[in-house]
Amino acid sequence: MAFVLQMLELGKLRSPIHSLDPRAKLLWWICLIIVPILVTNPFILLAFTIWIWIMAVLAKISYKMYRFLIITYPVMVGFIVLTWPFFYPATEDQFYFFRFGILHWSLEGTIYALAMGMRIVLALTACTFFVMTTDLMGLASAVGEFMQNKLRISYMYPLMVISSFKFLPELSGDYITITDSFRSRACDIDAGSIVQRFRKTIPVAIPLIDSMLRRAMRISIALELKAFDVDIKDRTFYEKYVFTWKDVLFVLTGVLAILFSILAIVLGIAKVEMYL
Amino acid sequence: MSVDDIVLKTEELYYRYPTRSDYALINVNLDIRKGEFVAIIGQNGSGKTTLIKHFNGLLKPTRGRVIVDGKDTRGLPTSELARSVGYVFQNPDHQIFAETVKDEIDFGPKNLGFPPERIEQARQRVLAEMGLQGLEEEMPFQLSRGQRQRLAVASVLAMEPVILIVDEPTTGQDWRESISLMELIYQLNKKGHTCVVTTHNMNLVSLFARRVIVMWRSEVYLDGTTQEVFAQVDQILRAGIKPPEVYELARRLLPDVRLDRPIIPEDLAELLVKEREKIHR
Repeated sequence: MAFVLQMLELGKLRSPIHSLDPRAKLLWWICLIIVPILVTNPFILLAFTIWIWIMAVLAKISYKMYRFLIITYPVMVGFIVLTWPFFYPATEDQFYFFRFGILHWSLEGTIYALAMGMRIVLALTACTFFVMTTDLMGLASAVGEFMQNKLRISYMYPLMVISSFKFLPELSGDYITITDSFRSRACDIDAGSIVQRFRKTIPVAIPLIDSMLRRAMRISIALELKAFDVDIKDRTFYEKYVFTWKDVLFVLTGVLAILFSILAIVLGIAKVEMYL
Repeated sequence: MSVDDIVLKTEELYYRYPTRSDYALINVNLDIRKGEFVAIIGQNGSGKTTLIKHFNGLLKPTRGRVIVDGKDTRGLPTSELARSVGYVFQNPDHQIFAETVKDEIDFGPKNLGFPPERIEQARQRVLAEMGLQGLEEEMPFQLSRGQRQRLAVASVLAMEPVILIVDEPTTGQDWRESISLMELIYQLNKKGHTCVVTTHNMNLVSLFARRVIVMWRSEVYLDGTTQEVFAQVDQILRAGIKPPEVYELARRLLPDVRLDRPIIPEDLAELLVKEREKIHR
């Protein structure tokens, strides 16, 4: 929990990337998520990943991002790379490291697994970069403003997102206090088998839910006291978000990544199958 | 009092939260003896709660050690230390979960493996002590705040701890409820429980505590009997605490009188009468 909060805090840093409109970064992120859907060539995917790593330097988050990714890559990708070769269709023309009944592991299967892993790597890198360079409150506010003013959708929905982030530390604090109070009554939440531990979460969940409901009630009353009305369609926003040429340029880099992927498809170099 | 009477001891205790660079506790050395009623006071963020969380192992020292009932807390989980130390949290709603008052009280003793007869006896005893008789089958969330606070204390007392730690017991309660709860803790103290209470209510401290520990900037700033600590008005103000008015009045009206026990307004009036008689004589 603390780690997630630290990651969210990074979104408030100051850098050329952080100063961009959060909506521009959202669009860029969407583009970078589309790329691994279109492309499976691991070298192209690796090139895009390296590009984001370099941008992390510009965003002054390189050390923290690399440290996070070095831990996360093996966890997220390791399972895919280790299991995929077993499910890769076995044909006679492959080079097998071993083949025993339905169990098999071939060079081709391994290459394919690595390509699938690279898709996850790129998506994960783009997500991490986006989270570490974007103030999610700012994003929710900017999206909320856009939804209200352009789409005439109530600000209540973005506010729900903002609130869920804003009260995450308090929820975390409540959880720690509640588990502490149970430990103090000789109930060690972390001890015992998985079943036992699951059973122990029930008494913890009740005061936690109670506390959340009470907090939600207090917040809703506080909002009403400050004249918040979910039906109002013309509320103003403290911070104005305007798309500048820098934002357009940044989004364009994402669009270019998609165009390059499409070009790779046209040239027949987008798929991993070319190496198999 | 002998060394054997010490039930809680901290030795060169330092603590730093993992996410912070500065120390939350600095070189805390305390001896708390059996049967003492200790109030730990201090500004918000002075280290009170951090200190008492060491007493039942919720926090483990970064440096130094804490000895509870002869056991070093570093090697024991909180669930084991709960046999010796009862810890009542500030907000009773953070620990209440059961459908009935009875189940809530029985939760701790069951975790400690008490036999059914002992659980029954403990429940009846704490219900009587906390004035909750007749509410055994009630739903805890439907009780008043004061009753829920007493239930929280009862559910901890049912585990028969040697030391009772109560964090901010009177927060959110009116004066009558606060006095009533502190009176209950005082009665427990008279029966032999060692009680450690943190609070911001100085009037309650002066009424009930016999020893006061003032925390300031992560250190023990003052430690002494209630009258000794509250008599040091300048120092205590420096620590961001306003002593009860009765002490300030006593200091100004009777600067030469040495207080030998905690005072309440009635005591001050009595002292003033005596002083007046002395002058007239």
